[in-house]
Amino acid sequence: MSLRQKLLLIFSLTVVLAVAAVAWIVSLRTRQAFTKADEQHTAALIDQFRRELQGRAADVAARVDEVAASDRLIRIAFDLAAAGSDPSPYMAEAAALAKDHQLDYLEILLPDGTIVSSAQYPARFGYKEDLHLAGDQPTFLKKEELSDSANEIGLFVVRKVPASELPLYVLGGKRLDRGFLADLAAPADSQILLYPILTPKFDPNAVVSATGEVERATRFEPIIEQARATGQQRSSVVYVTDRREDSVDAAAIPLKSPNGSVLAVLVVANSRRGLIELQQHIRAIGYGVAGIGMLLAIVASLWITSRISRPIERLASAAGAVAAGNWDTQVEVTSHDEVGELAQSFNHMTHQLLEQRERLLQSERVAAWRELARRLAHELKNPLFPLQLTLENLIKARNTPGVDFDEIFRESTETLAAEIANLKNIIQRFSDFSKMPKPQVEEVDVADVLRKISGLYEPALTQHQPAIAFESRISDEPLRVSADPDLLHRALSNLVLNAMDAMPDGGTLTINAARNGDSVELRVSDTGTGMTAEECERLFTPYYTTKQHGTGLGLAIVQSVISDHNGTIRVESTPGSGSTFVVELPSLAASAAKA
Amino acid sequence: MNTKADIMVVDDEASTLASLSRAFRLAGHDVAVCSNAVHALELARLRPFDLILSDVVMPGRDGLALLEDLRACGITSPVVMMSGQAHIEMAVRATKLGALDFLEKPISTDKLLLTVENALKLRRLENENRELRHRVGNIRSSGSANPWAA
Repeated sequence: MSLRQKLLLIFSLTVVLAVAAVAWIVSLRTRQAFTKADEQHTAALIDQFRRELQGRAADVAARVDEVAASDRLIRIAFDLAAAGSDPSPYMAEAAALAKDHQLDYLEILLPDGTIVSSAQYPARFGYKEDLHLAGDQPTFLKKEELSDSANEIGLFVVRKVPASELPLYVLGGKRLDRGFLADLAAPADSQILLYPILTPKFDPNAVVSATGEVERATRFEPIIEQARATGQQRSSVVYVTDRREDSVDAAAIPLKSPNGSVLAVLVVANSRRGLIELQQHIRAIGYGVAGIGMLLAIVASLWITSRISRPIERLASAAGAVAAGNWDTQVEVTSHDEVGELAQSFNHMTHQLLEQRERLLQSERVAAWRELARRLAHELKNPLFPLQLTLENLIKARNTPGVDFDEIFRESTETLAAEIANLKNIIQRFSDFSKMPKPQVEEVDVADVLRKISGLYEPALTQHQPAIAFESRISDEPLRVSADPDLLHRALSNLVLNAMDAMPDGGTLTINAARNGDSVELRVSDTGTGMTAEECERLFTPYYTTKQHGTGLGLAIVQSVISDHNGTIRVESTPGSGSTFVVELPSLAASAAKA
Repeated sequence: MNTKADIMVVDDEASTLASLSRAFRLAGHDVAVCSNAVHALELARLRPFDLILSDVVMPGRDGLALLEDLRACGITSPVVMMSGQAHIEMAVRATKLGALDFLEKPISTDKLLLTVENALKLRRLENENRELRHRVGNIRSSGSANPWAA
């Protein structure tokens, strides 16, 4: 993974995690705030409901008080007080009174609970109402059976008819129904449901709201049943539909009769739509922010990596250039940070490398000059010795009686001429070496060059005493290289001559030439005395020689020529069993293919 | 001192051989020349030379190898080595192998002749020494253990 990808990943993760954390915290806080608001809402509604219930109760109590204090009822009480009087003529009184005083339920009861008249169920006349009758009871809830065998839940109050001989009671009440709910001022996003428990099994059709019947009332069944079973207030989230927006926070409050049985369940449902929508909104904002953050992360990582990695990439390519031999490579320093320091150090390093190479070259040059001087001195000493001796001989012969001076003079002048020629030859070879021409390259078939050399030297080899056998193993395919044919000819001839010189007692000279991968490999082998490892090592050093009459320049020239042709030369030798010079030149086919 | 010596000169250079042999002959010595070590060894076996003067650097077997070969064959003639590229290691090696002297080319005729003289002197002293020892040995083996007791 590149630096750019790593940075991108880290930035993206940071942005996503930060946004996710913020969104989660905001969402949590919102939910908490909503829950609290809901609770307050629900509590307020329940309060309102209780106040309404109290108001209703007061209203019912006032109306029943009116009924109890009405002349009509006092007269009935009076009439009924007369012994043996029949209550039947008053059967319809309750209905008339209920209508007059706008009560849903009204019953006139004897002290023992016997119904004298019932507005809601006239046929119950003569039945006993199972009630504890007392003068000033508070209002209470009660399930009321109606004439059509239906049941209803109502708010009831019992009053005693005052100032009468016969204690007569009035039980009056109002229905607890949709109308009652309609009077409650519920906020728009809240709903108040009432479930009167009229059947043992949950009846969804019985659930009513201020606006009428309730759709999907079955969804409220669990919370209603819980409140009913426990007699305690219960809260939970109810999904009205399967969509989250349609869920409500519902609180179920059981409404009980004086004896503690649950008669109805009031459900306050606050819509969660606002919360859900807000959460969705927060999430959408989170996604948006995360998306923008990711884009910013990409831009930032691209910018930062370009600032960091581009200089590093430049450094890497510069290091590659130095490794490839361009020691004067410099890197542009664009910053003052760690990367900038690195670039400065790099530039310093290449600068020092260059300086060191320069120093090395200088010392090598000095060493080469010393070696040249030493070699030249040695080369000149050899012919000087016979020159000096010959001169001294001549002088001595001139002063010595009885010698054939003419003979000595003739012999001495021959020697002097030969050695002077030798000196000229030495100087010429040194001069040649200093005037090494630049190669004029063209396409050359090495096999051709070698065949020419073989033809040139074969007679000399066979005439050599003792004879030197010649073996030529030159590849049939053309061995094309880019070379100066004359220089190559001279260099390879030199190797053949060296091989001949290495075998004064005869032997075998072998020439091999073949393609070896991307290069052409030439091997010139002799079966001479061979060389030690130390000799092999110094072999290509200029002015080094193992031969008495060598200038020590032959192999140095050969190496220089081969090196100018981008080739290499090495020697494989074992003392006593001969030497092999191996030349490798880049094959033209290979270099053409590469280009 | 005009003693005539029998000298062998070994060098691969014809001019050097010619001028050296001429110098020795002018001084009245007998000279044999060889252009390589193999011939030199063959010649040395045939004739006891008073001095062998050999070049060190030669193609094939060099002067030091020749010195080893001579000693290996029991030839005790004094050997003087000479070289144009003399260095201390070469001289030390030559001395260890039993060379009488090590001369650096170019060498003057006087120096050459002085070396020959020295070699001859040494040769003569050695011969005398050997003869005396021989006599002492003869006396010991023929006479009593104490020659003064008779």
